[in-house]
Amino acid sequence: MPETACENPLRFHLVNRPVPDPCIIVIFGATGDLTRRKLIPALYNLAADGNLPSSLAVVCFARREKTSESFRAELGEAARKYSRRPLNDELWTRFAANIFYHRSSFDQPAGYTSLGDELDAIDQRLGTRGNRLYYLASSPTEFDLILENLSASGLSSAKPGTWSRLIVEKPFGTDLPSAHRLNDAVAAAFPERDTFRIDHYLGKETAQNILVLRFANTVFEALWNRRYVDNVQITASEPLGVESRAGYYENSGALRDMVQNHLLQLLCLTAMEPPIDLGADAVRNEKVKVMQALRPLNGAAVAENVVRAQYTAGFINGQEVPGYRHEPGVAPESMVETYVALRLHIDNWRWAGVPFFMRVGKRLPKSGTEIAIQFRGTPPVLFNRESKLQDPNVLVIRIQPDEGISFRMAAKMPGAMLQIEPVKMDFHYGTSFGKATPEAYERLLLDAMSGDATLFARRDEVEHAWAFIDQIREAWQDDSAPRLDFYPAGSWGPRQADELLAPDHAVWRRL
Amino acid sequence: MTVSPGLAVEVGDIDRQLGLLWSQSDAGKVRASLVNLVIYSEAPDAMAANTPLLFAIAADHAFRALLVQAQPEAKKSAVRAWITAHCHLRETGKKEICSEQITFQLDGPAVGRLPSIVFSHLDTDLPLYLWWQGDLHPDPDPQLWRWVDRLIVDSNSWSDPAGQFRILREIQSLGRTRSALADLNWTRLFHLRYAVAQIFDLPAALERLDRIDRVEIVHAPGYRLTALQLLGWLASRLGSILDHDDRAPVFRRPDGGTVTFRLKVNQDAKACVESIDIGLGDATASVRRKISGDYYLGTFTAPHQAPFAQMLPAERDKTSDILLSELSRISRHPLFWPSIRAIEPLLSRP
Repeated sequence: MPETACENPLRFHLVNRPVPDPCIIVIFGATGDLTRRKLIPALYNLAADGNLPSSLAVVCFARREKTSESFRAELGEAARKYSRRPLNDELWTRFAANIFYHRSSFDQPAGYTSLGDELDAIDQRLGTRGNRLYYLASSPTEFDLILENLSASGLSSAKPGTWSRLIVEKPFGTDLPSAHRLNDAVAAAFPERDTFRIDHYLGKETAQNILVLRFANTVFEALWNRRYVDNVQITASEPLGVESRAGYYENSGALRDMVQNHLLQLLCLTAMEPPIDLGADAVRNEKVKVMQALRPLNGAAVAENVVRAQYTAGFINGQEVPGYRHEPGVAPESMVETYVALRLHIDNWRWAGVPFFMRVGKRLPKSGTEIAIQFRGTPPVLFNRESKLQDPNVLVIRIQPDEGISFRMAAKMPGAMLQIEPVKMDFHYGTSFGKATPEAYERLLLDAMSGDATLFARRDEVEHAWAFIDQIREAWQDDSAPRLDFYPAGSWGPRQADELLAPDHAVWRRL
Repeated sequence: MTVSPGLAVEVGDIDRQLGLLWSQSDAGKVRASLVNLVIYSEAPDAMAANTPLLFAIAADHAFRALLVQAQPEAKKSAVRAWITAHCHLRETGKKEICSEQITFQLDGPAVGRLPSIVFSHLDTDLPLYLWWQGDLHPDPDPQLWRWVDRLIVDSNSWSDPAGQFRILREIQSLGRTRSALADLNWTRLFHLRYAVAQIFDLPAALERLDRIDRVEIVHAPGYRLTALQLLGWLASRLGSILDHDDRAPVFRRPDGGTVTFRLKVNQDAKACVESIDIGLGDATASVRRKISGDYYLGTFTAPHQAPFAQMLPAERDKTSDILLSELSRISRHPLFWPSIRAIEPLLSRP
């Protein structure tokens, strides 16, 4: 059972997780939405659950003219709106008293010098012990500047007996060269062990449960290989369109927005070998091996294995919605993909020959992220002799919403006739565990404060993912590349995506 | 709030009647269960007291409950049964989640059939939690205890804590028993212990911990044993040993120093344990229950130190909340027995 580093004997066997160290969290770009909607509510919920260290301060670094008092009031309103738990006024007041606003532009060295002085003063006043957690919540274009200044001012270097860590929000670059540049800039200021790249999908309970399902149960892992698995389908669908993110999305598209990070992370958790332990490096080593084993896709292989498409006007929930090119902020001739479907192969001993199908799209009929392990059918004897059973076993891990796991199997319908029908065994988190699930950011912030990087992406993971994505994008630039397909809003994607599965005699699951 | 134990059924017909209950329920309801929760009570109002409690628990933790109200002193042997389901809508637009409750009234010699009644109605493969309300019986029946996965008691309700802890040890030592033990009185202290521990993450507090010289605990009437368990936890964690030969017992620290203690009753207390003050030479660590809200305020004051204060969650004092807290933690309590041993001689003192 973990104890604190300072061996407080009263800590023994109180909670089954590391206790975070006292520290100051410095949020760069703190006036943005992320701080209001996610970070401050997450920290408040950690405080309400008693999970924060004995001393914690938050310093919000941003350009706009504000005072600590006025910013606390703004954050209070946001916390009231977005917090998982209702706000307790006294707790909020005490928590907010340790939130400070530091006004500076990102390019002013003096702003960092005065930040250092302020942090030292807070250490003296609140006992935060010199530990720093810097959070890059600004626009990615500012990352380099902030990192350079953190380094030049000496703030990135931990004093003896303290730590200095960095949390980086996605996107971790826009392609491999930019990811390299960003990672180099990070590495010049912080060692890899102190760098925490957030992919909030990894903080979700169900994503964490993939490893538990696989390695804490005997039955699944024995079947988790090419002998028994026919194909794997990873789906992330949403009925929403581009909403207010056209500016970002026009430069990103579904491939870079979702596949490079979230979907490839889910793929790695699904396909990885058992790690030697649950330590951050052991888990991430195995994930990287999956990336390394991904069969390269370039040129003609992209045409055969990747479908990209864009939504046109259609209906969602009976409501008419415009096509992507008619969304505000989108270029009328935009060629940005809002849907991608891929057929991937992992060329290792476990998965050779098993296709992994991934699809992600906007303006699809339903919201849902899931991983479906489709098992092979039974041999053509006994019940399978006359007509092939249509519904082989499927194990579905639902990441969101309605988190849970279901298993489809065949059962005899009651009656004199031998009629076999698929039935479903279903586990719902919400049914079994009534307790509200913590937000992903709560878990991830707690882990970063405790120095546990298991649920964060490592540099090589990110770069392998970009290398894989870049080859697809490069192929799309080629004149001979397949054109962008289109699908009506409210459909399950273009016909070409269905054809992608045909050579493997598979069909997409209907969520 | 009163909730009915439900439909009266023949004992031999319970499974069929439960099946009917579900086949006739609307499609917006789903049965769920994580645990078999057996409650045994000899209190005459056990049914009325526990049915609303089970209803409340079902909102967060699905179960199949077997509520057994026993009257061993009754002359006539009788077994009666009722079935019901507690349904809660946890999320708008989703199905209601329902937990089953089977209630038994056992009279006279029929009380001896408890293991048979319990084992016939368990949800297969789910763990068996037995909450024994009130005093445990001497000479525990191995047939029952060997299958109990978690024994839940509330030592605060015992008439003779010293004797009851002896029986509890006996139950735990029964061959093949696999019971984990949960004393709700110990669970009641979880957040308070956490709040105390949190103060000693401060270096200035931690460095003074081995100079502890005074403990004062204020508790509500009827919660002396809860306060004693808190004292026992502190003593056992710090290696202090009770010196109870004198009329005024004290603890001896490992370095030979003395720790005085005082348990004070506050007739108007709003919580089981209202506060703890720990003297540390020139410094004081305190945890106080806030009047409003479910929070503690932990403070530390010492010369030349900025005062420290932090709010931390407090356990709610309702029994259903304490039980839920225990059900959701599902861990063993390795510090429980050392804490009891540390204060055992005080159990029989007034």
